[in-house]
Order: sequence, then C-alpha cells, then structure tokens
Amino acid sequence: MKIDLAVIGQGAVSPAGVGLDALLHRMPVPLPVAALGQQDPPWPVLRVDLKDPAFARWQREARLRRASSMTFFLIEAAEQALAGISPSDRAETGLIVAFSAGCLSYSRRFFEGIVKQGQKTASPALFPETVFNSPVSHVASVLGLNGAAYALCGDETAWVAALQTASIWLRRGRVKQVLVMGAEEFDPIVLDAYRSARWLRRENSDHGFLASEGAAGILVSRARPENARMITTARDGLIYRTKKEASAAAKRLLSESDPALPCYPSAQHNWLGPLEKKATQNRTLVPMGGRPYLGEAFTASAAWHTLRALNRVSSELPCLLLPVWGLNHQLGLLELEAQK
Amino acid sequence: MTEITLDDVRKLLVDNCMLRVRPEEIQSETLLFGPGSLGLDSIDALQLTVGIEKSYGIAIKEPAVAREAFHSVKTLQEWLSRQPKQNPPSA
Amino acid sequence: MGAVTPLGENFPISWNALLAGRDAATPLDLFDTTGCRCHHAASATLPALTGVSAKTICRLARASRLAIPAAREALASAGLLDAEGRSTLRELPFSVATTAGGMTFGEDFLRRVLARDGSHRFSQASRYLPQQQVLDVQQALGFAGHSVIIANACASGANAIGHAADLIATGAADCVLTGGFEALTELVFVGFDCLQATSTDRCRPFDLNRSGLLLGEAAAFLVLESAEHAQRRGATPLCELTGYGHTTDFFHLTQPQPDGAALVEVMHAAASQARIAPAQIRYINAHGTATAVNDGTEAKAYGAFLDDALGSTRISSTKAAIGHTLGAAGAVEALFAIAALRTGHLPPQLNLQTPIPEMATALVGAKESSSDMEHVMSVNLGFGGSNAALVFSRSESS
Repeated sequence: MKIDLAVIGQGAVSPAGVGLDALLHRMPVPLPVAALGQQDPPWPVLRVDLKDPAFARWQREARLRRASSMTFFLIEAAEQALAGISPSDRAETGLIVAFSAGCLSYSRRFFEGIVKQGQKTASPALFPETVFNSPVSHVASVLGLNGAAYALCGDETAWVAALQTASIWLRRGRVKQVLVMGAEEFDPIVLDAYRSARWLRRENSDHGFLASEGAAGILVSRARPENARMITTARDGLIYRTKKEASAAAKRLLSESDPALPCYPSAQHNWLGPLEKKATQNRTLVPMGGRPYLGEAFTASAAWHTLRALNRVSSELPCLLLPVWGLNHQLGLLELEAQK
Repeated sequence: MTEITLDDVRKLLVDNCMLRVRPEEIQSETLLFGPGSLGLDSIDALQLTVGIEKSYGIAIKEPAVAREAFHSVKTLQEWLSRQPKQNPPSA
Repeated sequence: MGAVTPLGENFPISWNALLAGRDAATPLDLFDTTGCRCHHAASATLPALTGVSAKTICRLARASRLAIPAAREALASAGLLDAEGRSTLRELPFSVATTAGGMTFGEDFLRRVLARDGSHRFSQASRYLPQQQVLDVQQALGFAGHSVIIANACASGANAIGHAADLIATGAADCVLTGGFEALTELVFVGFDCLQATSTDRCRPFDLNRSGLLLGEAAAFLVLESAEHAQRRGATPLCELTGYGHTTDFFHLTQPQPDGAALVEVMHAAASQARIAPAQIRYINAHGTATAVNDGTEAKAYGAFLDDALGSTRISSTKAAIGHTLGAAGAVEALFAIAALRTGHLPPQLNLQTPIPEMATALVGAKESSSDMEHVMSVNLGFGGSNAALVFSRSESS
C-alpha cells in the first residue's frame, strides 16, 4: 500500500534510556531476572529504568495512578514525538498503538491472584488496566489528543498495520496528523515461554535473544515539511505457519522490491535471523555501525528499527527497505525515503 | 475486636489503590473520596472491599456500609476496629 | 453475512431464535465459577469443522472454533466460497476485532508455570495471541493478504467494520472480510465479576431494576465491497454501509461521561456521513449492557440524538438474548441491525419489566415490525471509552 507518510516527530523509550539519542547511540545493560517458574538461574533481560527522572511527571498524573508500566513508556515517547505541537493541533492528532502481548504484567498478576487466592478476591483495580486499549485511552486523554484512537494487536507487523491505518485516517480527513506507536512491557512469565522455545540467550552466548520492553512512536502527516523523512510504502499479508512457509514468504517479500535498494537488517538474534540473512544475501545491507542491541520487544522493536532506519536515510542514502519480520503471523515491509 | 492501626489502614490504601505517596504522608483526617481527598473512585472502592476481605476477613456487603466506612482514613480505621475478629480467607 | 452465536450455529438460526424471544443464558460449565458472584453466561455450541484435520482442530483456540465457521458462512453467502470450502479470493483483506483472543491457552500456560511441574510448553502459550486465530481463519479458508486486528474493547467489532469501509473508501481495498470473534474465558469472566458488572439475575437492558451484564461469546463476519467490485462479479448487495463514527470518551476508563456526549457525537458523525437526519433511522441496535451506569447514560444520549424521534425510532439491546460478546459484539449486533433492515422484523427488548421512563416508548416489543426500513444504526461503547456507530441503508439494488 502506498502510504506516503511524512515523519514530523519521533519519540522513544527503551532499555538504552529515554529519548531518541539514547535509542540511537547508548548501550543498554542487561539485568538478571528470574523466570516466574524460577526453575533456572536468572536470565539477562533488558528493562526500561522507570526511575529515570523523565517519568516523574507522568507518575504524578491522577489518571495514570493504576496504570501499568507500559502506559508510562507510551506517554513519555508520545510526548517526545509531540514536541512543538500546539494544544489545538494535539486535539486534531489521532493515536494508533500496536501491541503484541499488551498489558501482560497486570494480566499475569490478575490471573495469578485467581490461581493462588481464588476468584472471590480477584483484583478490581487490575482488571480494567489489562485491556489492550487502556494505555491508548490514558495517553490520548492526558495529552489532549483527538478521540480517534485505536489499539491494534499482532506480531511485529501490527506496526505496519498501524502505519497503514494512519494513512487511511489522513486520507479520510479524520485527523490532521497521527501518532503511530508500538509498545511492549516485560513480565517474568515471558522467560518461561521463551525458555521453553529455546529462544533465550545466556550471557557470553551468541545464540538467542534478550527479552526487552519499551515504546516508540512517530508523528506522521500528509503535509511534507522540507527535508522530512518519508515512509512511502507499507506491505504486509505474507502469512506463514511453518519454517518452510516463512522461507517462501521471505523470498517473495524481497523479490517484490527494487533489487538495488539497500536493506536494513532487523531480525538480529531471533529465529528469523537466518531467514533474513538468506533472503537479503544479494542485497546491499545498510551499514549500521556498532548499533547497540536492544533486545526483542516485538511491536516496540519494529518501531525502534523504523526510527533507526529513518535516521539513516539522507541525501547519501535516499531510500531503503525495512523488512518487518513478524515472529508469529506474517512478514511485512516498509520503504523509507528522504524527501527530495 | 480486630486491632487495626492507622498505619495498617494507610498501608492498605497505598497497596490496594496504588497510591503514589508513602503511607506516612497520609493524614488521618484525609477523605477518601470527593474534593480534597485521596482522589479514589468506584474501582478503588471495590478494590478496598476486596483488600479488606483478603487482609482481615471482613466482608462489606452493603453499599451503604461501605459509604459510611470509606469516609476518611480515620473513620475506616475505626470502622474496621469495631468489626468482630475474622479469619482472612485461605487460598 | 455469517455468525456463530449462543442462539445458533449460523446466522439464520440465530436471527430466528432472536426474533422468537429466546434468551441464551445458561449455567456456565466451561470453567469453574465457584468463587464468583455470577455462575451463568451465554455460551455457544461449537459447530463441527469441516475441511480441517483432527490434529489441527485440537490446536485451535475456542475463539477460532467460532471464527472459522462464521467466516466461512459469510464468504459462502457472498458467493465467494469454492466447492472445497475455501475463499475464491486468494488475497482478501481481513479487518477483525477481538479483546481476549485465545486467552484460555495463556491461562493454562500460567497455571502450569505456577505449578512448577515442568509441563508448560511454548506451543501452548503462543496460540493465545489474537494473530494466531486470524492465521487460523486465513489458513482454514485459504486466503492471505493485509489484515488488521483492532482491540478497542467492546467497540472493537464496530471499529473493525468501520475500518473495512475506510479501506474501501480510500481505494486501499475492493473487498474486505470483516467482523469479530470472542470466546468465554475465565480471566475475563472473573474480571467483570469482580467489578460487580455481571448480573446474578437476568440481563435487563434499559430496565429500572437492571443489575448488570450477561457475558456471551460469538463470531460474526460480513463481506464488505465497493459497488464496482460487486457489480463486476454480479453480486447483489444485502445493503450499504453508509456511515461510521468513532471517538473516545475520556471521562473515565470504565464509565461513560454521564451526559453521553461521546455517543451523541459518534451517532451524529455516522448519520451525517450517511447524509441522513437522525429521525430517518428506523431502528437502533443499542449497546445496552444492563449495567447501572451504561444504560442510563445511553438513554440520555438517544434522547439528545433523536429528540422528538425517540419513540418512532425503535431501539433494543440484543445483549439480553446473546449476552455481551465483547470483541464480537459490534459485529454480531451489526448483522442483527442489517437483518432488521432487510426483513422489517425488529429484535424485541427481552427481559423488560419496568423500562427506564426515557426509553419506555422506544423499546421494541414482541413481534414488532416496520414497513419503512430505509436506515438502521448499530452502536457500541467500551472500556477505555471507545464509542462507535455504524449506519446501514437499503441499497437500491437490494
């Protein structure tokens, strides 16, 4: 789908720190966390530091009192992306957030309470905050955004769907600009899941990934300021279930695009890494230097990769491809361009 | 009678309502709901009811009783202290 | 259109049962509810699945067992299903809604982890994610292509259908399969129960003595396409989707602003996109969950939106019959509104004894019908304040 989105704002929260600069340049430090079932030694995990002073103002917001950490990741990244946008323009800004596991931490705590202490004393404070769109509602409310707000879910390609949806809203004239975001929050239960799939990495190992968390977003519009970076095309829909189907999807995905376009490699240490390597072997890969590894946070990772790729397009590298390696549904792709 | 102190009630409020203040910062005369209060809402009221049953085994069945008990930190402490001692529900 | 609901394994059976005044509330046996206040729900009977191997069936989430037959029925009724029960369109955009996906798999995984017996497997956990149910439908029905999963709580189904319309209106798609699916799960059931939102009595929308909602499960889909696409393939539309409004009520996470302003806004947005006055809407399928707060606010909103037409515009909440089906609600209720538009028969307001005075003249009685059905509306509201309204209109060729 041609989406022709001009990126006019960026914001990020990651284990590397708060802000775009941290995302692009800082090295995050893994912390040891025990899986919920605690049957192994702790695993290295990349966590957002919620003690960062940037979060203090959000922690004072009455509306966010019961909200889980993901809301704080989102609202901080959103506010960064909205820098310089007036209150009246905020009221014409829609919000679309892509999630994979959503409000996992509270969901796990809520159900764990049921299992250990019974249904009778299940927590009314936790349950409403487990719903996918609760963080979306909180962010839009506190930041004075328009009422146009969707929570989308899926694997990393939900980020692609979010960008496509933003383009649709802008073409319909529903809003003047859209804040498109991706977010994930960590919970120890994921270590039990990933460990049983043998996806996790130990210290000093090359194999596997680090679980991670955070959020990022871009403010997009149809209006194209000078020197804006653009996301021109978004493709999804190459579904797969088996490794064989994934391989065929990867081949098809890259074959549809101009073979001369450089490709930003993003599968890194997840199970699609070898597939990406094979599918891009005849392409120029965008040299990313010593970019720090931020771990696996699904829709947040897709957003982080997009920000990093956006900050690489320039007059020297005017166009590049960003394949989006959805880990359990489909593959997608974005084309990024520097405004001529 | 159940011996429940003001500190117990402060901790109950902070833990259940996810208040972003330290228990010792909460005054005994502070209202729970309404203007100038801790800013609790109906979900907090439900959560407090569950929390009280979990911690003290005291059930609040009638909304009118809850309204009376959940007036201020002090009234809640006094109301809880007047209830017959119960065993908290086992898992 | 296609649906699996607590009233039947396909849409015609569900619709006829709805008109006959059947109420699908029964004691719940899908999971233990001993510690809950409420012990009943509206559960669906899972239809038999054809064209899917036994090995695949046992890996399917309950939500997929509802979604696959409902989607298949929708494609069949649209003339887009081949003799093998697969989509004739290999690329078919899919705009779908859910709130809990395959949550039961996640619950089971967590139980096993907490038991520390080493029995937990990733393959159990991964299938709980909503995209796995979407993939189940895509693979069972043999199509791929763009998909979007909207999780806007109880308004999601309406948002998914509205989004499908937006895709077509902007030329991003010609034909979209759209709807929602939701299966009953313990986490969600206990969640609503601990909020004291579920009733221990019958579900009585818009009744002065209402005491809360009945949870249900369902899957419902429709095929939306551009007029040109329908014409090219010689398909006769059932109706037209002429209006969609959506917004977010920022008043509170779980309660609407008391004057219903957000709902009034989306109803006006949908009506104005359809280029009709509120009074031209002959029937509204309400959200009507039967909670104390929702129905009172909704009644105010109808008063403000319809003004003098309240009374001549007929209103009912079908949640009394099939329960609140969360992510599927917006979709299944849209189908009921469309069926009302086409047949002139109106779903009655069940379990009504003492109506809210403001709604007394508007609520549909038993065996009501109307001969001048030109436009109908379906509305849905949800946690987080999502509000959505859809207008369906008689199409000239239908």
